[in-house]
Amino acid sequence: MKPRTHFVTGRLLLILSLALAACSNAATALPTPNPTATEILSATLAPTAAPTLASIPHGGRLIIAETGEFPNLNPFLTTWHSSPHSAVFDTLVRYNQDYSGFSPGLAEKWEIGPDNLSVTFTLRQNATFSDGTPVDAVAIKWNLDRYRDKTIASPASDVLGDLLTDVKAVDERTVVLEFSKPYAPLFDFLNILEMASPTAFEKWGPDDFGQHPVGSGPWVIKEIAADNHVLFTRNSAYAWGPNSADNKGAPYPEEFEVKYVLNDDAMYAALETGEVHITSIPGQFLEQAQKNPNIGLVQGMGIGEQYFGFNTQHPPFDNKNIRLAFAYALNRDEIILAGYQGQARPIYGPLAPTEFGYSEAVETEASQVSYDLTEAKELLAAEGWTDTDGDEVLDKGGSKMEFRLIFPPDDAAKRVAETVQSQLADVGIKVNLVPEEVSVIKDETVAGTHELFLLYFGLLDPRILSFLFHSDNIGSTNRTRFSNAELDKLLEAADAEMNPDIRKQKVEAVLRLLIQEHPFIPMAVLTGYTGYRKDLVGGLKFDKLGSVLVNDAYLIPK
Amino acid sequence: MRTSSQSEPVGRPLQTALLKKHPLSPMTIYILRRIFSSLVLSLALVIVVFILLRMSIPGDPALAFAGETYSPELVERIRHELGMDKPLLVQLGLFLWDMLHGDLGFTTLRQPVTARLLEALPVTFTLALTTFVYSLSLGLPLGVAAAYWRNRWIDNLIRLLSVFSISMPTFWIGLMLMWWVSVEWGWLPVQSDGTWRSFILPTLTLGTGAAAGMGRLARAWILEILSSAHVRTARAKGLSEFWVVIRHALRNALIPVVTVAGFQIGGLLGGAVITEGIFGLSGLGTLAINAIRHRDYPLIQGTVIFACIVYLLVNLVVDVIYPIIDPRVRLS
Repeated sequence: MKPRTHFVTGRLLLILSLALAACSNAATALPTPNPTATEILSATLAPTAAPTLASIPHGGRLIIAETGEFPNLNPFLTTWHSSPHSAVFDTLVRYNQDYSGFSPGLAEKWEIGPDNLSVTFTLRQNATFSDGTPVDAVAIKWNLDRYRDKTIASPASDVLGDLLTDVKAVDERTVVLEFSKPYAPLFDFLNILEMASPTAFEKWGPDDFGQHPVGSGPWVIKEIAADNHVLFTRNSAYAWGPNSADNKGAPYPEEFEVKYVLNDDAMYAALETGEVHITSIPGQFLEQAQKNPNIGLVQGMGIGEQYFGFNTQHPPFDNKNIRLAFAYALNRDEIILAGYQGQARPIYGPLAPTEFGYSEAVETEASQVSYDLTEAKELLAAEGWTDTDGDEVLDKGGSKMEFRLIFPPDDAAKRVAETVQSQLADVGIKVNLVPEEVSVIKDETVAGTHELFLLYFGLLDPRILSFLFHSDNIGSTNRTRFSNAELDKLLEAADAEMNPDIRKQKVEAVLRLLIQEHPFIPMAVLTGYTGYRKDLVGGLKFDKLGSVLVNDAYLIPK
Repeated sequence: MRTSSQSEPVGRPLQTALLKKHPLSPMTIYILRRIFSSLVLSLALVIVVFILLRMSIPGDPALAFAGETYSPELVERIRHELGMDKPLLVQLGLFLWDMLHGDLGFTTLRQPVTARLLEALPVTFTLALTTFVYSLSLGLPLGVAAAYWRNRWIDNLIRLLSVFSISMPTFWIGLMLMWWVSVEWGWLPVQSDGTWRSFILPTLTLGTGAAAGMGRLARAWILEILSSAHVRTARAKGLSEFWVVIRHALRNALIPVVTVAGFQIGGLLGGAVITEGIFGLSGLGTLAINAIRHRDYPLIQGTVIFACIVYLLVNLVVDVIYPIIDPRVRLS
């Protein structure tokens, strides 16, 4: 009972602190642990218990809780591949558990053509969709043809439409993909292309397939209660589990439920009562969770970065030295403590450790530009920005160093923005905070009407850098509107390089140019916690992102 | 009915004459008139909601739908898919035409809006009903007790509790109930398990403030009625104070309570947004929150229009039953 008593006390304090936060500057120190990078990287967890295979209990319902909304399970339309997607669908290839490369999915093996313009996939022999139809070459071709079809506005068609020129079903188990150009991010992309049963899709049609999805994953849809939960039963025919799982066959629990919970308090309370077995731990509940002997905690690291962006076409941000001065003025440790309640780690280079192409050497080099008020002030003074009228705001030729910072309207971003505002004020830069919906920030960055912004990106493959910084993407995803011909060439070369080792070097060249130019200031990588009930569920495995692999999971009999 | 119209001796000779010539009864005409005005109001409301959402909601829904990595061509195609590339009036015309056929369009995740609303309606309807019954069955006796023992300690206690209940924000009541009843005592589920038990805490959350309001109203009305002439007559006949309150005051106090109950439905729909979110009930409130979070234009529009129409319908029903329970307002 003791942890529960602490828990309730914690709730009252939280409510009180919320009330106080409304009346005071939220950017004050918050007493939460700030884990080291080593702790974060060692987050991959061994199974929570290890009974022998024969004694593993079968049956029961495994329940995980997630925030957000039940997604559309029509894989051709969604940009968000959530837990229900990976429960129902399989992909041709999968990321390794440590994200170092790719391992077989529905494709047993593959071979890249000599000119890097084709890939031949050999499919598993025994895989079937849960409606009993085979996962054969014809089915894979049908799926890929649909993914590249521009007429259905599939987000995947944006990349595949021009890239994938043909898909050939050579025989029952062999599929050949032909491309218009070498494309290194291909496998990252194939990792999210989920294969649906063509028979089921034709039966339900594009509008209803999302309610009746049929794939070849370990689970089969039993019930969809929109906005509340998705319930699955085990796919008893499943026998093609990932390499990272000990259990390659059907899951041990009879049922699997993904619950959608809107409220942080309810999310954690449901874990406390055992109504859910696995969920992310909101920052404010970390301490309570640590005190509960029945809750296990795993720290994972987010994909991508939270960053501070400039409109590099807007003076004075077209000047590299001004951008550099901003980089010196920001204190990431303070931002992380105040903004992310300690659940993040500072980042200086353009890629997070979870992304392919991340380089320790580049990160070390980039971290040389860290919080240094003197350096920031000197750089600004050297560019002619001084406080001539004594109002504590720098000016030059009648212009004030005063800008508008747009940021998403969530609490964390607000706290970050307030901290940034206070830090920039220390060097004489006045920032006016304007919370905006993310889509408005996107609108502004597309139109180029912005000055400064806070945003985030996340993708496991470094192709994200082309979206963010290639000059062709100004007016769409290049939000800093950064244009550099040399960088464009480097990005194109990195995206076209199929050899992973050589690609890594080419990505590093991109990173080095970016840390010299500072079109944006990387600030933090989120490091959230996942909690699970170790007295109720065993066999869980987690990857370094903190994502749970449930193939080996079983419910512990009471 | 005729008795009622005959009992109005002066002031309406022309109307009475017209009504007598009309084949429909005055009550039917009254109901038809109310239905017609509700329809006109609904149409105006749909147009206002449609235009307001497009004028005021920040951000481009197509961008939200496109995800993080996209090309301008994809955004254009999505805009075309959603019909956003057409002029506003054309979009409105198409929307009204589809709406007349029961089609409120598709969500940005390509699910029929009408189906989503109809899925969510029973949950919100059940919650509204249980809340109404709870607030009435708690508020009314408390109001009666407060009036019966007016200015005594029991009245003061009820007043104190009422002020406390009305002042507490819904989310705070919900969280406290959740922590104590579900986490500490383990009596009820934190999140909806699809059974009747899932409605207990949301009902208490949503209905406590409403019960307090209802109680205050009932007390005020009963006190007013207790000072009226017919109650004095009842007392003069030797009826005990208890039966005076029950037979005469309470019965008359029900009339304003019904009116207020109609208005309360609006409050319940609004409160459901927070309460459903806390307790994991997938009703209209949760649907609305998710629609807003995901910038799902058609779903936001559908939810708002649907909620408004439900509100209008409830008020229509209240207006229709009002003359039945209070003969004095017939044809007024």
